[in-house]
Amino acid sequence: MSWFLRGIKKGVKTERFPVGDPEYKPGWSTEISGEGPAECPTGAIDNGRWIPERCIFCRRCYPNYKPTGNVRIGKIYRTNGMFSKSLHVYTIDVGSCGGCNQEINALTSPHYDMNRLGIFFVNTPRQADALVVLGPLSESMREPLMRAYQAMPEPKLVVAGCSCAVVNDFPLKFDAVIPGSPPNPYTMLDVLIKLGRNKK
Amino acid sequence: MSMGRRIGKLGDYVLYAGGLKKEEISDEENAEMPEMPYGTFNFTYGPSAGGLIESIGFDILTNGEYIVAVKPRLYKCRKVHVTGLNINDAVFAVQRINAAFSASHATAFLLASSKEIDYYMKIDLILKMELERIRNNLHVIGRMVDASSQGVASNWIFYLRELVNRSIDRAYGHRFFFNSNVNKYDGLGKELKSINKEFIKALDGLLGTRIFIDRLEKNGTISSDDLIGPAARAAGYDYDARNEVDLPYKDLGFRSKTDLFKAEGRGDALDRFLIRASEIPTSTELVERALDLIGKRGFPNPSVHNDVGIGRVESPSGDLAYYVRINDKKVQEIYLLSPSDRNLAFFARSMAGNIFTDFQFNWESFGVWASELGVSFT
Repeated sequence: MSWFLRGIKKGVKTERFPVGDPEYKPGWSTEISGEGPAECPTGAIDNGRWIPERCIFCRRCYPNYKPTGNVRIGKIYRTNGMFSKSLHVYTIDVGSCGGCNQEINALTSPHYDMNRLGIFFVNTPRQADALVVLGPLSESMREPLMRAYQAMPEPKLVVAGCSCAVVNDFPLKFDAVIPGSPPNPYTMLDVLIKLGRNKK
Repeated sequence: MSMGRRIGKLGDYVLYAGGLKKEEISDEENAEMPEMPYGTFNFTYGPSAGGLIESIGFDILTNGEYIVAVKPRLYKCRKVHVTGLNINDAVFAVQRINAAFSASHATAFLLASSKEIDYYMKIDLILKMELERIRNNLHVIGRMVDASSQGVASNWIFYLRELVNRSIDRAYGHRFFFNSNVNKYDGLGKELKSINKEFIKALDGLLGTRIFIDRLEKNGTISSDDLIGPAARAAGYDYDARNEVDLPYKDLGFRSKTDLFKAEGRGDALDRFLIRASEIPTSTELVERALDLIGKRGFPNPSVHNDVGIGRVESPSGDLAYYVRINDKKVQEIYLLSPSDRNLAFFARSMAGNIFTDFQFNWESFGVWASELGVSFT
């Protein structure tokens, strides 16, 4: 049987998300809710308030705090309506554990299929609208990061692809943060879609 | 007395299957590039480029398309804080060295730092590592298929990889086993069986796709006593830490050799592909048997020793080992032997004589993760 016929026979596997809820509820990478004391190593729970961009979902706050299953937890500070129909993304790994690399790679797989939403990965920052930074910045990746940013045409956006990327001495200003370590693909997709909205 | 096969450098020692030995070993990872013959030039690929899922650089000495030599350059070189931490906090850090092999890292570290581990906890650790192997082998195979622009096949494989991720998440509360403290095995065996069945169908199609097979055959051929993991088995060496380490693989009926999709033992990218493919059904069987054995049991936490320990496991890309010295229940000294450090050197050696269009297939076939390359502990 040809691959074309095999493909047809498999049918559509892509989910309806972002329309409606995800078909499966991810565990510890969604909104955290609860009350009481928490032993939080990153300060993501401050006086009972959950700060998503600090959270690495280490479960140290369990059982006082638990995931709700809500994947729309991205922090968006700046958007650009110019990217509403088409967003080209260049990912740069500056020292990750490889988890967010795999999760963002999953966005091209049939469950998520980001291409149907006008979002594409590009092989060079010269064709990119958004730079997605993965992992905490290692010293030897500082120069490649800055060269990638400078190579991008204007207008451009910078996204922290995981909570680990949000470090104090990071040399660029983030326009959005995808919380998680690593975030789940639904949250990644949700943030990338929202980057193209006219209002944040 | 024979120490068995040599696995690699572990701190100031060399790790053999039979234990540690103090000896000099050449530093393959830092091998110098050969003199530039007439007509050759240096082509730099990476550290951040299309086709690379992680940041890593390569100096490629070439005269156009034919590759004379490859020298990898590490960029991530992650610093991981573990020294002075208690075991719980250290496991937290160690399993985030490489998300793709987090269960293997955590298991090797626990074996190195524990006085005793409950039998059923060991079965659970095997269960996690075999799930990780299935996920990683699907990832590697998917990347190889994707590189040959087989759109339907690569999407099929990545679809199955995502199903495995979801099964892991349902069972352990996290897609990469990070800090897993819940074990809900209900339905896990059935899900994996169905994924395996689908994979066999996809593989059947791939083995009949000559345009794909041609990209792998005689690509990156390497044979050496020092090879580890799938690369060793692809070259005909029956090396598998699962036969050698203190984990009850035998109780699960593990056999490292399989007649299914048998590799020729030539040590090329095709054989590495076939070995990884054949491991998916094998690991699925191990998962099913492990689930039968565990049932609904819970298990106590392992007890920590106050000494020096070595822990080794068969990660999806070969031997992964830790040397840990513990004092007063805290980590005092730690060394890592990562399969990616070993496989990176083998990859570089195997590229000499190939052409640049072979690069992607051969690179993916070794299953190297840059996150665990050149890691230093603080």
